Amino acid sequence: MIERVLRLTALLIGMLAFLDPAITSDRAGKPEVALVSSFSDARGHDELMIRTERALAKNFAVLRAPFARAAATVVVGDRLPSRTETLALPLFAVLPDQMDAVVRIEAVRAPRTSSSESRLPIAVVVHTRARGRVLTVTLRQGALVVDRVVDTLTTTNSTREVVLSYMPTAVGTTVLSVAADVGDTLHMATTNVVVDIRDTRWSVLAFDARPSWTSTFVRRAIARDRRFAVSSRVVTSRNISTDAGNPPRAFDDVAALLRFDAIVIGAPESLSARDIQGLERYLRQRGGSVVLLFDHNALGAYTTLLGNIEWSKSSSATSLPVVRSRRTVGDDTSGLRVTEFMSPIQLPERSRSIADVRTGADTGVLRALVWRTAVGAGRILVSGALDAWRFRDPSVSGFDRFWQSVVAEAADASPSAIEIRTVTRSTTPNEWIDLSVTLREAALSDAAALSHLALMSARAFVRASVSANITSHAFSSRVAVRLWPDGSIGGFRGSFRAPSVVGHYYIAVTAGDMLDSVPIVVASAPAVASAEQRELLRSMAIAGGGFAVDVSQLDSVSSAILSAAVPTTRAATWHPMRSAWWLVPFALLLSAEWWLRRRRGLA
Amino acid sequence: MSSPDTTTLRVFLARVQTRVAVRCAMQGAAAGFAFVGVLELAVFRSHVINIALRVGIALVCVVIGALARLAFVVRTRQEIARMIERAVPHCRNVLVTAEELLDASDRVKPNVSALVQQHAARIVNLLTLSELLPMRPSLIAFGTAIVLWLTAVLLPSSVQEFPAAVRRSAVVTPSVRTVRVVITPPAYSALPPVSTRDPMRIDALAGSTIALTVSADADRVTVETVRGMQTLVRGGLREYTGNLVVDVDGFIAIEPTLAGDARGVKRLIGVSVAPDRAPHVRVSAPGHDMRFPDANRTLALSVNADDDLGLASLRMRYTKVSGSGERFTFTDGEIPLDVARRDSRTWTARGTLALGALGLSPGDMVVYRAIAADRRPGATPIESDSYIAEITAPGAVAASGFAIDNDQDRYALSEQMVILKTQRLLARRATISAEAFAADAADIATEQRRVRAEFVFMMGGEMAEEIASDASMAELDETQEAESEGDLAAGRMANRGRIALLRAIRSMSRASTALTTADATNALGYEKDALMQIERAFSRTRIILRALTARERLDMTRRLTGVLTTVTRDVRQQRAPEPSARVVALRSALAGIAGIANAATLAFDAAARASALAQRVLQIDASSKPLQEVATRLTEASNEISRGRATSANALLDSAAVGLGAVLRRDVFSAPSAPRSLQLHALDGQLVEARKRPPE
Repeated sequence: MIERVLRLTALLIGMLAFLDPAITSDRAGKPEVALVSSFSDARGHDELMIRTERALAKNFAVLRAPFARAAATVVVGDRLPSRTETLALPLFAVLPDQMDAVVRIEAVRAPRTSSSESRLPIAVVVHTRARGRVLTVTLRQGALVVDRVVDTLTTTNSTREVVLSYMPTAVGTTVLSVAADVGDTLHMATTNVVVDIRDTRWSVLAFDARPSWTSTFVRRAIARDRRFAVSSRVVTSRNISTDAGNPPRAFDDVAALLRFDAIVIGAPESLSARDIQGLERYLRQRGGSVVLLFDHNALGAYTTLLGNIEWSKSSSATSLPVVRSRRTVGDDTSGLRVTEFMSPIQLPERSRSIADVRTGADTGVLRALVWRTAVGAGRILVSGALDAWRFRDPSVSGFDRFWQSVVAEAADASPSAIEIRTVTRSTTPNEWIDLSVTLREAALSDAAALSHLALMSARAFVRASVSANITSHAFSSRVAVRLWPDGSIGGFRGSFRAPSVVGHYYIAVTAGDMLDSVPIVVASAPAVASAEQRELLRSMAIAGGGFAVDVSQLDSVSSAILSAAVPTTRAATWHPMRSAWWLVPFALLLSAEWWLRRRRGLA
Repeated sequence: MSSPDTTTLRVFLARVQTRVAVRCAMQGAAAGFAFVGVLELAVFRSHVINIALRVGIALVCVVIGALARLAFVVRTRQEIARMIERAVPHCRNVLVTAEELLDASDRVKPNVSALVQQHAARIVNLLTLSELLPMRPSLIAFGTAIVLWLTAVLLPSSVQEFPAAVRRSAVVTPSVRTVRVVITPPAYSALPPVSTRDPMRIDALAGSTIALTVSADADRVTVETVRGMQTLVRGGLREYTGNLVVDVDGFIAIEPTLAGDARGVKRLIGVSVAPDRAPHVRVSAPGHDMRFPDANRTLALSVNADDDLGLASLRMRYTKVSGSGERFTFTDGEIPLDVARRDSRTWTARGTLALGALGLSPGDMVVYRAIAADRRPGATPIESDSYIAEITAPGAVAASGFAIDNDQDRYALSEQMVILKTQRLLARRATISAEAFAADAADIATEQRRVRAEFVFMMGGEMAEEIASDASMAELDETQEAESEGDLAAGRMANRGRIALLRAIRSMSRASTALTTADATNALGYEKDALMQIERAFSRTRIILRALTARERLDMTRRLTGVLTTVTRDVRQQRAPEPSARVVALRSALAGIAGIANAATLAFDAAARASALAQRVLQIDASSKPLQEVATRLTEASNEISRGRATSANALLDSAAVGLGAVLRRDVFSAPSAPRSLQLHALDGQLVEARKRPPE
């Protein structure tokens, strides 16, 4: 009997092992904690991460990635991590010791896209803590230093902006490296800048309602600049004009105007009301720029665009300098000279002066001669420098450079048909990247304008289609990026993981017959400029139900998580027969059964 | 007479002498090898030097070491004997004595001499040369030195960071070793010649002769300058010479070439040429125009002149102008000057001009100016500003100067220029006297009348009668203008250009009158009005109607004219402006530097490419100081690459790139800063419109 029981039991174990039953039950295990690294500098902080992980590992299962089901998230670093919405709460922050990085690059501002005919100004915001030492900021293309700025630090704690220049020598994606040091490589900060150099030109329409000296010389100035493709029409008499390029037949042909980034108007007082209506549609539906060049003070239909402005006309016996109101990034400070000028007695609301003239040596009153105002998504630039063309000799004034610069800025401000934005262009493999796309045609359509005013009727709608993918010159494959409407008309959002292979890629967006792209660079260790955000991180941790501690108080985090984290049980599926220990009873049972049989003299 | 013992002794001593010499030679050779081994490690290792040359140097050092050691070796038989005695003390001076008796056996009795020789022979028979003078230490030293040298030769040198092709090419590539330059300024300058060796730049006076002496491992050396190429003449085993005359900024590119047309790295020398500045001369007193009521006076003249190298002559000439209407008489003359030379470069002179002696009448004038010349052969003498001394006629206005002073006045006068001059005069009003102000205003009035005359002429001259005299210059003939009313009513004068021109001429007349009375402020208003009318005349209708004589009849077939109804739109092609050749060349040079610097390793031809880039940079603008600096950096980088110093070569390439970027910064526009997003632009417009909208 006993032998039989033993044998059956062993047989049962064998059968169960063969069947491998699965059992699902609610189990309480170690809470899982997400550990996220987020530092403002590119130095390695693995030691701190390992230290934090060890401190937490006693009580928690630690995963080095943000995930929504974590019992808590611990951010190690001194700045906010990206994609904070994915972090599980409560949130704790472990702040590193203030290493007092002697030099830190907090931000880099550079055009993301530029013409190959321009040089790129790269503004670098550097924070230093080293009085009396020499700060050197260098810009490198590969191994070659292409620009360098050297400055002596006069204060202990200072933030300064340094402007470097890069002269493109080829078209395509260029990765530049900015380094700031205070005399030794130990105290050095680096960051990468990705720029897209394109062989493109701004399309500009120059239109003179009648021959005008001012607009003639402005037109010639921009036509000499290779950054512009200038089409022009000069109306010399009724129904007679001199055209260059392919100007549209009339301003009411908005479709023909859409291809222009800027329109330069001479003698704007001679424009008809119909012309002004066409220009207004161009401003609102294209978001373009219109430059009005006056050569004398006269009223006209243009007041519809500018409103009723009270003008003040002045003249001076000697020519007066006109200077840029705001120095643009770079070093272009060229200005005009005038003897006759007109300016609004009061600038319209939210208008901005571009160039001023100082009238009266004693009073020093600044008057806006060239100014800008917004109409819809577009902008109008108005010039009241009536006779600046007389002083266009380069030795007397910077007439050509001024207008080339102003028209370039105006044209550059006009949005492209597809606007693609990413938070960063330099990332690590498999990193999440957020992408936003705006289709200009849809976003600036009449329906969109009505929707802003809450007047959109049921029949007014906008149809837009868009697709995006990541591609590379090196690899022929394309990876689609799913885009979703973001709530605004013409606006889309999407997220994707950066390719796992290091290299240069393009995010290509197609909408109808329009195509645009932005480059992204995937690097193993990209250097990203970032300001320190300790206080912001503290606040975020408190708002997230946790707190921030310094490294010395690391142990308090573990206990805080234990108390803050809600103990949860989770359904777990287990296979009891998969344990190797079953072999022991199985063998024992069979052995005992064999031993008993032998005692009884059985084989 | 020699006995067998004597012979034995002689042979032994000779063998010892030879062995000593051999041993010393080996020691000297070992020292030579050791020396050249140290030389290899310390010097040759950082240079690319032909292996044959290195072996040659080693052999020379070995020979010198051996000879030097042999110079101190014991040579005489007597010294050999003493040396053996010192090495083998139990000889007890027998060998020394026997050696002395070898050549002086008569000093002792023959039997004594024979006994000594016998004892000496017995001793030397017992001695073994290998024990007496062991060769092993010398052989060990010699062998060790050879191993040391071979190790140094075969050690990887610092040049090894270059590919093997570089090392191979170092052997076969021709190169320039040294360049000696003697700059001889032109003879007239009396400046001494200047010598320099391996210069990066040469500063020379225009016309200087540059004598080049190039030491090169090459079969032929060519020199390229902005004027062309020339081949240097072989002057010695490895020396090439040639002369150049420099007159413009540029460069001297020295290129060594082998018979097989293998070219070496160019040696580039920048050349800055300082031109011989023309003399500067001015009449310091009286340095202005003068008007006198009569000629009974004498003017004291003072002249200052200077030159950068030296003056050759200083003279004062005058021209007497007499007559009136269209009959003028011009008489030239020279005023004697008393010249004081402070040094060869700075002279002052004084003289007197007696107006009375020239027989001047009212309305006549004397134009005087100083003339200076420097020593440069063929140089044009330089004239100072000319001034006039005029005997005024009643009611006359002084004419403008006979010589045009400044470059800017050489251009044709325009109404804009008259306005500009009037504005400048008004700006200077506070700094000059009333008389000077009135005189300058009168000058501008003269120019204003000239401009007006041009327009009157353009109108066919019908205005001439209306404003013929100065008295009626201010106003038009109202009667004649009234007579045109009929034409206006009939539309025959619908051409507004003609009317505008008439008004412009009238404004010019008023401006001229105001300037004559030194009322420049009002004159400026009239001038601007005239300019505005001219603009209208030429911009609105562009048709100026005037009466044509029969002789002036227009040939319509030769004019771009036609019927109004057939007028069509003038359509021109849109043309992209040509890129600036300078910017293109500079960017190309920058790309070239990036190409060298961004290569994984410095390629074997990097030195030649850097040198060629330096030459190209100087070809863009040899006068530009920043570009000269860039070229110098590139040349230095080329030299460093040749020497295998990659770190310093890269630093120099960086410096060249930064310098080139700074030059380009002035020629290329800055890209606009990053534009704002579309939503922000739209929001901006909505805010503007919201502020304009009346509150509900």
